[in-house]
Amino acid sequence: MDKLLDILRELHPEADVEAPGLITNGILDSFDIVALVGEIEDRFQVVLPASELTPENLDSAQALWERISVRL
Amino acid sequence: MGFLSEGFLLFGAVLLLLYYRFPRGQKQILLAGSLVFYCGNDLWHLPLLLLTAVTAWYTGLRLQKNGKKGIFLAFLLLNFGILLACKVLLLRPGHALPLGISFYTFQAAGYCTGVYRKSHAPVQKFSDCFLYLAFFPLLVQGPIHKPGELLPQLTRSHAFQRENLALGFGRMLLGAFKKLVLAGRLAPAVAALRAEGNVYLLITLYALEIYGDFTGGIDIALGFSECLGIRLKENFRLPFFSKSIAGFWRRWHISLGEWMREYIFYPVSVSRPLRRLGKWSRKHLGAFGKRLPVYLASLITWAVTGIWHGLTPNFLIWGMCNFLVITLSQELEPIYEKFHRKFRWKQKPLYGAWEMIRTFCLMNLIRGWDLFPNPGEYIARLRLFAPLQTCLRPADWGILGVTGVFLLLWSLGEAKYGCLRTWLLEKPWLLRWSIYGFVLLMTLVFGKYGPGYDAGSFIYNQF
Repeated sequence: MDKLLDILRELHPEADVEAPGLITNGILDSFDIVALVGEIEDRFQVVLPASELTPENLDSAQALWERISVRL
Repeated sequence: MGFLSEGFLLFGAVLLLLYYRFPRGQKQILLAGSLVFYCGNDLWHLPLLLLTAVTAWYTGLRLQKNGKKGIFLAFLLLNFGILLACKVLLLRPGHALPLGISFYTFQAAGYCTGVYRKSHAPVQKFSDCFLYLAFFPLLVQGPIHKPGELLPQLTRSHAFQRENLALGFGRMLLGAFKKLVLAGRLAPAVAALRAEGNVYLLITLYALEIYGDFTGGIDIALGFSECLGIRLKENFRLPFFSKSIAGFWRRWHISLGEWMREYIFYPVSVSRPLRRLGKWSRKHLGAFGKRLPVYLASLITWAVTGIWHGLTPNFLIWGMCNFLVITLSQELEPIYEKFHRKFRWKQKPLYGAWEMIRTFCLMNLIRGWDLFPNPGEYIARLRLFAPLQTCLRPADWGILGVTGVFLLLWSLGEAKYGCLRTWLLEKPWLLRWSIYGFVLLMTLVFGKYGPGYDAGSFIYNQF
């Protein structure tokens, strides 16, 4: 989870990435999401399919971590 | 029987009466109404709509039993093949695309993709699937809906609520106002300028015409649905208040942007070839390497979006222009941030206004490609600065001026209070009736309809 938070902070150092609302508050846009998928693959060797890239799964670091950890 | 015809007024009135008189049969009434609407507008192409509905329904059920990729791909190939064939064969003078084909094909593809990905279960009844694809307010110009956004509302009954009718009629009136007064009055000037005249004036007036035409049509669709107690998704959110091209596409034709993002951009981005490229580029190209796969996926998505609009080179160029501006803005972001840290203009209202005007002008230049199937002609016209003349008379300018001021105030109101129609319901009846009365009067007196006008035809019908 810490590694994931590091990735999110690299993308948006100005934002509070630990709080929910990454999508609903407009912090992550579609470009960020694709960059995020690439970083997740590099650091966790986990490939998130397109079907997982939903607002529900991406709106918080916790929700995203749950999608990553089931694939570890 | 287009949206703004006497036939539709009669059809709508009868449908509403039956809908609330027989609440247990509302789904069947909507089904029958959608069939009547389609047959009244485009009977010859009804078999194509039925084919898409049957194949979508059948594919959904087969995928549930046995989720093989083959049947899913066969469905996509068949239905996008039909769409492509129609665009190749029918998009020429004297012909028209089958009503709603782009919208119901995209909706069907989204539905089957959702079943394939196991995001939702397939619809068991064919009538439900058909209604989801053929629900008539959506056939003219969308918006495109995912099954979860629409099916539950279509299949349950809705009790009569006066508020729904008040809000719905108000919205339909606003839609008619935008379509008949704004778009209707600008259309002849845009057509004349398209032939010859100042191209900068052309693209500005075209921006306002398409705004009136497209958002007006959507207002009518959403307004009628609201009368039925069905809340459709918004397709526009104050688009001329956008401060960037990327921001504009989050406010204009929102449902198409969402569809492209979910079914083209993300799948392309996470595809094996792009992931392989991304791994290589992140290792060898540093910070730019992290962005390269995103840019490639974006390039492909914009190419597809351009082609969706039309198969002539100008639409591909249109897509590429959007891609280039958005990508350049991304790359220049560090420079913008340095500039704003030094000058602190971003918080100032005047700077915000400048951003909106800049985006409006840039978007007009990009949208201008819509109008010139021959790209060379557009470029040549941009180089000329022809006199600023139109066929609009002073009276037209006066009416357009009043219309523009009203719509600007309405938009500012929505930016501040949210849905102004809901806000007005809580205000004194005199204010409410004055505003709607003004809009009705403007539409009846200054709207362009009647013999010689095709008020029911919308620009986005052709896509």
